[in-house]
Amino acid sequence: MNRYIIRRLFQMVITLWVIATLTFLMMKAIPGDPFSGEKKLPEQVLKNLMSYYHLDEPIPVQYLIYMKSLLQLDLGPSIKYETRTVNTIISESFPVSAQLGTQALILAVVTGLLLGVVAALRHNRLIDYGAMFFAVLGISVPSFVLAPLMQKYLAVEWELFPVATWEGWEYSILPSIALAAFPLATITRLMRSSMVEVLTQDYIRTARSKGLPPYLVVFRHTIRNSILPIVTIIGPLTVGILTGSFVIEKIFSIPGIGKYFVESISNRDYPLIMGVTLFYSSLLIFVNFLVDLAYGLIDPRIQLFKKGGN
Amino acid sequence: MESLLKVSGLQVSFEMAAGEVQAVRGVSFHLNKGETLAIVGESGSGKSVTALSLVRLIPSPPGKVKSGEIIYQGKDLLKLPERELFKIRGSEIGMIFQDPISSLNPTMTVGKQIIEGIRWHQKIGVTAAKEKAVQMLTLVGIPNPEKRIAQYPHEFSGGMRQRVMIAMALACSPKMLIADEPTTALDVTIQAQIMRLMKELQKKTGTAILLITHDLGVVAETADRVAVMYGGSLVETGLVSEIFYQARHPYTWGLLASMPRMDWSKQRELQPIPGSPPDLFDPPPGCPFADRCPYAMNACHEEMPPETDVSPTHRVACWLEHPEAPSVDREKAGYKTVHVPS
Ligand SMILES: Nc1ncnc2c1ncn2[C@@H]1O[C@H](COP(=O)(O)OP(=O)(O)OP(=O)(O)O)[C@@H](O)[C@H]1O
Ligand SMILES: [Mg+2]
Repeated sequence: MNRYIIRRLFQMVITLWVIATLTFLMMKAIPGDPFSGEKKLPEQVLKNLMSYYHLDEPIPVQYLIYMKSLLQLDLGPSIKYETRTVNTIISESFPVSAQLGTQALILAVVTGLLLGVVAALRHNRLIDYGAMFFAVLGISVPSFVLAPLMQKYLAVEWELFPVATWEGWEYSILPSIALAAFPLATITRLMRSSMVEVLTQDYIRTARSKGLPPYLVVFRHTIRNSILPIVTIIGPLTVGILTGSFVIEKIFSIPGIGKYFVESISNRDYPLIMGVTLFYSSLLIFVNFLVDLAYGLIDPRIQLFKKGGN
Repeated sequence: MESLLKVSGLQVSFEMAAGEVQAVRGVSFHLNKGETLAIVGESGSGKSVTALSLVRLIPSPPGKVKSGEIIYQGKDLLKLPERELFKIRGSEIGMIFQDPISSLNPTMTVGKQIIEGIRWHQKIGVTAAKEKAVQMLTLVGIPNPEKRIAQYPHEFSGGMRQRVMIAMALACSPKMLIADEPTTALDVTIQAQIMRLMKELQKKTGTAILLITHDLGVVAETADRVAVMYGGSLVETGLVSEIFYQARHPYTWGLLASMPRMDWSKQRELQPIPGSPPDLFDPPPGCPFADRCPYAMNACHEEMPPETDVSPTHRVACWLEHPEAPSVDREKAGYKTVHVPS
């Protein structure tokens, strides 16, 4: 078990290094620099700035400098927000995004599984058709359409929720729902079809032949086996929620990390672009690692690591 | 002999988009306490559907029991409320199936799978149920049961899994065991072991077995009585000796002729029955075997033959039993005489 985890951690570090290098190179390939957009700066000031951020060094040297600070977990100073480092920007804005993302993920998984199970058990009945109708809507309506619609009706016209910004828990409800819609619909559909399939399996017939009542057959034998495909797509769905939060944070004016990411690119704020990209990448890589571990726990046939002895 | 289960006029259909599949069309038989009744017949003749219907386990929809009675110890299982049925399944009537690989839940240890049935029916504690499960695994000849109980099905071989299934089915000491082709998916050597095990356990426990099989060799070794099924109907029922040596239905003759026998000289070849089974979407009004029967008369194509008791234990549904039917030389009846329709 330990050896498996160590091997995976090592792979994760390598992956991150590759991502860091590629991002660094691509960033350098984009024309322009952080100071070209604004009004002309005096020659000397520009020069000082360039040297402060090591932008006057040759690219390989810049790369080495950056890698060195990365090893110290230092993402460097932001160029746009002169008084703050990338580390502080992330640590200040990430909790907001994390709350939003986690709420959306929990909402999507719990509701999605529930709807999927109910739809499968009422296969081809009214509830099933209803759930599938909403699932198709959820999958086909993009969040940047759904979010303004919800703002217009649920917030402005019926005044059930605040329209935007982030000043308390009730402010997080609409953005969480908007962010959860797609993964929720995806999970509902997948859970339904997976469960309908599992219900026709021979071992379900065996469970029934033991005299178990339907609720036990469903809870003990059906759900766990149906959930395997869901676990596999949790990784990609989390990615979707992370990237989807860029849009949602913008629409609801939420001071999360997504806002900084979008702005950092138009500002050419090199350290911030790198920092946020690496931060997101580590998050994704870590989520995928967790998903793999969960998979091994749920399905005993998948052996991630040898048990001791035997 | 006291009868444990009595089935009469069982009719089961599947309502498909293409029409109604009449899988079982009026089947009647009984099972005595402690005996083994084998149901034989070719693929698609309705053996599994009959067996699953006994405890209402056919997939429904599309499956539906259209009519009939299944009397088990005085109760009609077809009329029983579901809740009552949960008490009978597994505790009074155990089941094992053809494919031990797909019949066990892959994400649950075999111990838990055995224990849950015991606990559901006997309302006993985990420790007691676990002890019982270990006992059952020992009984079916699984070495190291204390350790094996914590393992998952994929850690067992096919034969071992079928032993687990048997342990599971017998854990609550049912009076009746339905075994639907329990050895078809296994290696030949393992097949013999499993059949021997079932026979041994039956001696110890007195469980009646309804054995579904393709294998007439198995029937000869293990069964007391045989029911021959064809096209959704039972064509002949009798003691093993009556079916093997005094069969009266042409389909049974064909079945016997299609099976290799030790006492045959080398030249004699296996005789497959020419033709194909009836279309269950639109079964013929007469005997289902009429189209393939070398002795078919007009009546055979027009009307279902009535069941005739040839002896107190031997019953056959064939128009040849009619007093006015021409006599057939049963001694010589074999498929050498059949003209293969081209
Ligand atoms: N779930 C189902 N849906 C539709 N038709 C079915 C279903 N199960 C069985 N049938 C039909 O019922 C008929 C009898 O099937 P059954 O499984 O009882 O045959 P069998 O005698 O057990 O054959 P085998 O020896 O191959 O197991 C077949 O024609 C089959 O197509
Ligand atoms: Mg079958």
